Amino acid sequence: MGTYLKYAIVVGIWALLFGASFYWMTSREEEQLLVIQKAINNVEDWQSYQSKQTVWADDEQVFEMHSKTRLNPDLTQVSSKAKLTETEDFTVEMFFSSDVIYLHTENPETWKKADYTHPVAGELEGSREPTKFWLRLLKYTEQIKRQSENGIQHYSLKLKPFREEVHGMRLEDVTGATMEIWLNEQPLVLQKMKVHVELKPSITKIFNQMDYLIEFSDVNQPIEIELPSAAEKAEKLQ
Amino acid sequence: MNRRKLYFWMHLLHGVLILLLILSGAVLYIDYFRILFVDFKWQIRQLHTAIGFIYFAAVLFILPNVLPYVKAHRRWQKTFHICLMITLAVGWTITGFVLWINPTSYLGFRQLNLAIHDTLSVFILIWVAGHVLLWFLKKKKLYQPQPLSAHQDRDQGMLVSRRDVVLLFSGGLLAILLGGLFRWFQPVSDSFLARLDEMKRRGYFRIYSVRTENPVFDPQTWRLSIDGLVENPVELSFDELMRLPKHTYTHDFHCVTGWSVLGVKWEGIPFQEVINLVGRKPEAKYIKMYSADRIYTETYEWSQLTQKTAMLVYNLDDKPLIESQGAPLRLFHPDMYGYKSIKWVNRIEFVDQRELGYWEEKEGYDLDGYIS
Repeated sequence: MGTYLKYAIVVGIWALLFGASFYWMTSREEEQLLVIQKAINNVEDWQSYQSKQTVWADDEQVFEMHSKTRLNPDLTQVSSKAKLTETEDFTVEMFFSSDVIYLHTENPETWKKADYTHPVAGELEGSREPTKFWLRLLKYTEQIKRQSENGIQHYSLKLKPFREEVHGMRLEDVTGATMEIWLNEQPLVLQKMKVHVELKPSITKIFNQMDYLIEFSDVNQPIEIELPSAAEKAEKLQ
Repeated sequence: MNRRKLYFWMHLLHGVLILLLILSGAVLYIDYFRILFVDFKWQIRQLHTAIGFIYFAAVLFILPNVLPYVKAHRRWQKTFHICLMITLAVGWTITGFVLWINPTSYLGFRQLNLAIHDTLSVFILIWVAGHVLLWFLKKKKLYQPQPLSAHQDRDQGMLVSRRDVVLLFSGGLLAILLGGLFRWFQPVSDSFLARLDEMKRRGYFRIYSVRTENPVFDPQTWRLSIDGLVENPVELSFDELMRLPKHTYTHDFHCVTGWSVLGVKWEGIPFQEVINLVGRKPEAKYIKMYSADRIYTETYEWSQLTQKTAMLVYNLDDKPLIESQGAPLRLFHPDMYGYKSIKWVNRIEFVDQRELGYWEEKEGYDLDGYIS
């Protein structure tokens, strides 16, 4: 009986050590997710960069946004173009300075401005901070695959169904989604990210699949951004 | 050299190397020593690594000579002690090697190795204390182990044999290895994803202050004075301060003593807004900040604080600063070590002469504190 008890204790200690090791260790895929998260977070540290965001609904481009960001002195220029109908687009240009947001539309030509306490400021700011959406997507990761070639890491993530919104497009009833990330290895610099979303077909939906791509360029390179003089006459946004 | 002498010298060598590792490790681990030897941080780290390599080589040399010793001494306690020392040596060597390589692509694995390395080092202190106490008791004849009878090492009831000890340790090491390997090939777990926001944080804040009691924040009476060589000196309440334009971003915090907290979300007022508010006079080339603790001060060139990420911070990771973090207001400069990020800021003075800050004056810290 004593011998059985002794070996039961030994096996119990082994099981405890196995469990502790399993619990505290991170898996290879989890390590990869941490690297991706770090690379996305690093965007906020860049002194300057340009980005281009494109959205396709059922393979048709419906939205495009270009941005130039410079941290010192702080100014971000964002121009976006959204498709309204087959013949009509809606374009808007925004400038984010340290204390004022300027909105510019061409047709009709108008300039508006708002400070950061305005109710729309939060939503507008979302357009100059594109990484938040991608960081949220990481939480839906189901599986990761990584390939490395010529100093570029290419990650393919299979995502679980989620509910999100991309530039005003609601993503509900997602049946499957994949996310791809391209990173420069040394130094760790995010190059581009793409998500492909499949939606449950429905007569109330105008598209069944969506692709969203964001590409970064000119990281920490000198970037010329100038607030047009017309902005000085901008009216206060009500 | 006879066997007995050889064992004595091996034991001594092993003990001395562990002592040196513990001492050099303590300088890297304990806050007080880290601050005391801050200027030699990297040299001490290199010394610790070098002793670690010598220790590993010594263990490789000692190990073949230990086996005959184990065979000659039938008490399971001796076997247990030696197995434990081998386990510690394996643990320190593997984790120390990982820390030395510093694999930045495996953040979680690196952090785990650091935790194991530290834990084993704390454990050995307790074990050595017991080991020395036992040696002392035997020397004073206060404790004498009972001699073993001829068949006592075999399985009889709950008797523990040397075989059991070896089985326990070898199986234990295998279990740790298998547990880690098994996890390594697992997919992303839900618990990990749930903790992903927290996982970005690697490390933790160690709170330093130069007084035993932290200043207390009362929103009704708290004021921030901004004066000196400015066009419009002001005194702001906390509510008034909150109305200034804010900025939020995520950045690592690095202490000059060697620890870091990664992925901290900072929310506050870009210092440029303060400059805009009060209007800096051309002769105000420097800025002096005062802490509400009435001791700590820091100074900066005004141009060092114009980048948007140099901020007067009031929220950390979406929560208001707590008292020990410098509530309600502290500076954060992403390019400078933590000692430049003065806590409990209650006065900002624009000046034409630069003075030394608290640590620059006391310990000769670098005046600008840029992270190298």
